Amino acid sequence: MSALRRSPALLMLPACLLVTGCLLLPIAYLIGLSFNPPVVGEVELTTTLTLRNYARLLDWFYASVLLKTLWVSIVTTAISAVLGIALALSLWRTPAQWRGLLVVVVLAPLLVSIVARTFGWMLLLGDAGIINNALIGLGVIREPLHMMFTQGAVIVGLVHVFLPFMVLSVLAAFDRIDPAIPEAADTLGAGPFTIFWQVILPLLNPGVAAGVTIVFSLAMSSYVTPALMGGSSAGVLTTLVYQQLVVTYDWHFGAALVAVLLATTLVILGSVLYANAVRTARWMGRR
Amino acid sequence: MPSNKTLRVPRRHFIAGAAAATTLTIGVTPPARTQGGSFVSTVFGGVYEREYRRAIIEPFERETGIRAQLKLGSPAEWLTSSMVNRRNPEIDVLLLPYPDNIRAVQENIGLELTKADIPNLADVAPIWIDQWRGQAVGLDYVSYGIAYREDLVPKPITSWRDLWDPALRGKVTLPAIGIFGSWELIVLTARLHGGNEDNLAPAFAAVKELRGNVRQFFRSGVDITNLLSSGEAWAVGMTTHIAPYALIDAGKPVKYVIPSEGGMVGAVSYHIARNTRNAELCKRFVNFALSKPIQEAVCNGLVAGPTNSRAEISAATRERVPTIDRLQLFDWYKVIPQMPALTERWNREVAF
Repeated sequence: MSALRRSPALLMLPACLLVTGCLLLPIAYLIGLSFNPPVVGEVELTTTLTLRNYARLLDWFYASVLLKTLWVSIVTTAISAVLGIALALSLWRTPAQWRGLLVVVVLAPLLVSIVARTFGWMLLLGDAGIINNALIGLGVIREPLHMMFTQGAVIVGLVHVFLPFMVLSVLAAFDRIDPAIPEAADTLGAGPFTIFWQVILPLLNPGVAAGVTIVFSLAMSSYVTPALMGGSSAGVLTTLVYQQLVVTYDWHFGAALVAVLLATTLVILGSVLYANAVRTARWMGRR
Repeated sequence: MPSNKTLRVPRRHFIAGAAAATTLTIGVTPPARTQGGSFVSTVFGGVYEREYRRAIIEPFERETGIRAQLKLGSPAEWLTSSMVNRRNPEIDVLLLPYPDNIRAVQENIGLELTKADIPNLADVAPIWIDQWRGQAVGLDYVSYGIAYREDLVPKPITSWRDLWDPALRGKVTLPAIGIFGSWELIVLTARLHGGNEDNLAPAFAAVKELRGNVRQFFRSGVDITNLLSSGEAWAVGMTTHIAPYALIDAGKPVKYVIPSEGGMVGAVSYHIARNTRNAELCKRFVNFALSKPIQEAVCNGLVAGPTNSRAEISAATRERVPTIDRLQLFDWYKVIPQMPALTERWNREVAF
């Protein structure tokens, strides 16, 4: 106990061991596998190193799938950020007695199974769904719009399920804002837009950054929603990973795909967070 | 009279106590054992598990006192576990579908099954033993055909070629590559267009042509149920009878047909892990599952065809399960090595 008092870092040891054992070691093993020659059904690490799995990725097909995955994830994150900030603002302004209930409503998508959620979207967006029937009934369209099983449907499905993560992150940032600050801006003559844009939004930065990190990471690695709500050409990088690991048993190439997905996610998130930190530092300096 | 004093436990004693309790719970609790021993096997979830337990597991445990621990999951996961833990298998008896059961043979996972060890093999038609080169035996088989919404299609579907009908534009669902039915679809389409297991190229040109009719590539029986029941898809290009008949029984206007060219075969098989320590129990279990009354019970419960030639299934089951002569088998051993290339080609030319 006295050793723990002397070195508080020791308290972090169990968590570090857990993360290393349960997360970093398996990922390191997988990345090691990606540098071994591809042998179907072989999962043992060998000392023979090769870049053959990565060379296979130097192809427009894989680049296009990666770009599609990035596009879907970026759009999902952007929509989630805008809606998340708006929803969190509403919750922040809600009287305390209603807030708990509304937070549960925001979390509701996480309480419903993906299959039920998809079927719900089918009833809404399907050819014979509520939206198409309404538009046909109103005479706006003659033929149903194909909304379900498209890339748009995938983005809608992802925003639906990841929005709570954004809302909770931003709401935590809202709660840290001293209500006197926007009031002071108001007293000094700033309009509602200026208060939001120049006072509240910069203060929300840490929450938005946390939300973006969570939603973007989850969107990049999502498999089930694109599989269930995407159409005949809605495959993403995780679809290819699944195929290599489960269908063709080419774990080495699958591991290379995992490494590329992980590296891309980390590079993009790192860049965004760095740019955000620079912007925040500049803003703090200006203050 | 209760004391108002709060019971205070020093933190280090609490932590030590909790750790000890956890250790006892996790580490020292003896594994559940029964008098007759136990072994680990696999089973598919949902209705399959319920019927399988009722028809095979419960009577087996009652009769022998041996406990069968069933592991849920996916066939790929079970096979991977068997390959990785080859020397010390976690699963004693694998119940696997195509193509994993053929892959298990190629990976030499299973023990050779003999009539001396499993006497009921004598009643099993050779087709349900030979295709696994004696390392496995079929439990039951089902058909692959076409399911469609009778109220939505412009005309009844009777042939595989009807899937290419322009009237079905955007209204067909096919299996995603690697999902049940996908390899059958590739082989069948190749055969329809002059190819075979050695020459599957004709399938790709044909499926590319069919792509305009495809609404979505399904990944599970639940997808089939949702797509057909909502009317998002009017026809399912290659499916077992299970999801369609569930909809028919629920009163949906769905029809399941074996096309005029013949359906395809789906079968599940038992593989006893080579290095299992429970080989004798496993052999006893497989022998039990192959016996006439159990075959009849399991096939009537699951609505499947028996592999035991002496088993007689009910009229209701017979109506839904075609005889094997109406179904096409193919050489999986030729197709499996091509799967990585077929998957890559499918991704580039058909999906994505």
